[in-house]
Amino acid sequence: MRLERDHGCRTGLTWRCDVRADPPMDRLIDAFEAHGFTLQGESFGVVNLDADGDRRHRVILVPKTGRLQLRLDYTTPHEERDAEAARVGTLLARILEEGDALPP
Amino acid sequence: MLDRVLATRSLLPEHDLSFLADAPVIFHCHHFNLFLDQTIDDALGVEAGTALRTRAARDASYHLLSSLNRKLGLVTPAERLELAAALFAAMGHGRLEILTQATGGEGRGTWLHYGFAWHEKYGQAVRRRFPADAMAAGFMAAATEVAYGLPRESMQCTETACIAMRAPRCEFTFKPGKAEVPEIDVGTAQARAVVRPSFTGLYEDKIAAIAKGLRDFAGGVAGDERGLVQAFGVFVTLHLSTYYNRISYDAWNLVRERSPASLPVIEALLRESGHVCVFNTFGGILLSPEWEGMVGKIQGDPVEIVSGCTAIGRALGFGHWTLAELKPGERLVLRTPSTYESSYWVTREGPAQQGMCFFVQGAALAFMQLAERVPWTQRPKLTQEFYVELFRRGVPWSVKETKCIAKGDMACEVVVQKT
Repeated sequence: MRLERDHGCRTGLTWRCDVRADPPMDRLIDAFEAHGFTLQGESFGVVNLDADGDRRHRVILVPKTGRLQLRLDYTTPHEERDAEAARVGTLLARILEEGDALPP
Repeated sequence: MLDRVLATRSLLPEHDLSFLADAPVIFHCHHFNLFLDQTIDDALGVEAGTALRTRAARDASYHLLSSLNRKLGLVTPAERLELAAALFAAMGHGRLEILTQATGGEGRGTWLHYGFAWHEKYGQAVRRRFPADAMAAGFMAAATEVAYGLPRESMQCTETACIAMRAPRCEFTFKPGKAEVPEIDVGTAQARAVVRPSFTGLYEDKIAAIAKGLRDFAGGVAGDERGLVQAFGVFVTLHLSTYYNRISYDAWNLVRERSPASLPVIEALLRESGHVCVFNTFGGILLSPEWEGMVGKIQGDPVEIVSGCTAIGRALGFGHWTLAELKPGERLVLRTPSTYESSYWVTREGPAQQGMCFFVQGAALAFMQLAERVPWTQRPKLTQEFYVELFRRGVPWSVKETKCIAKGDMACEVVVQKT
């Protein structure tokens, strides 16, 4: 799994990766929750999950197309954003593997 | 309480104009907000620009807060001030502490939209020398007037510390002054009187369906625990269109009186505010996972982009934008029986001699730029560098507002043509 910068123009806050289209959602959400994320809701074709902790990073998943966007909390200092994205990216890789959502 | 506030939201459904209590509201992002404020300061100078922006915020906020208090039956100053602070945060403008009495006082702000967003966007590279939060200043002045039953447009406010200037928080002082003569409120009744009979255009079914979905989505958007809204890769505010209109048109009038040769410059900048908005907010929405979930992956077809942008304009409350004509690569005719700009101009300024919807002009041109020059399927990044490349290095389009409700026409019509 490779996390890369998304379209968001504010440097280093919005990242994306691809997951399996139509992943097993129950299993995937369980994996997120096991690693400290909380499901915020499923509507308008997307699933929103927030990371617990001081920094509320958000994950937005489009199950239909297999797009995952990571939105770092905007309080993350500029100079820490790349490292923070890499840290969360490592965690996401584990979650996606446990949730059977890695792309083929 | 906020549920009761949200229950006062209304829509002129055939005209896609939104109101909170009686005040017209629209969504705009921090890029647009900062650009328009900067345009006013560039045109008038920082001191006069800040004064105008503060007056405009006080004017627009008084209308909102007084009509809201009437609808909700709030009586005591404490409950009125509490509502004001909660509402400001819910609209995505940040957190306020309003510590005022009828005789003046102080205010504090944390995570204020303008100051924080300026610092986020420019603070690494530029040191700001003057405060950024005229919106918060005017809002708190109006909240104090409404809370204590003071004469409208009488409370003076100065921002003495600002996070955009690297202060730990924003601070404000208030003192009563001489009341200015209030302007006519531009509310629901005034908008109804100005709009023209509605009509539809090309791809209407698709545009209407997307606009409805986006409006439903936007209805659930509210400030987070810091009072900010982060969405679509930008910071979003639910804002008072009277603020935008008053600062734009008062500045335009002042430039016309004092320096008519500079009028084309400020008109170009007001048009550019439309480019900034469409590139950042509309582009951000089109590339967002929310759009992908709701509408589908962007394929990059010009009709898809222009009709999608038209739907976004409606959903954000800009008016009932329709496509009268679209020839990809050649020409776009955007026509609407309602714009937030014409509602304001006709109500406060009377008949115009020229098209006055500068924002719509700039937005329509930007539609064609997005449709023709953005490689949508290659995951483009909407960076400042890409903006400069698209909009400041030879734009291959001309734009003209051929009809305007402010001139007495039955619609506003903007024609974008390949040059």
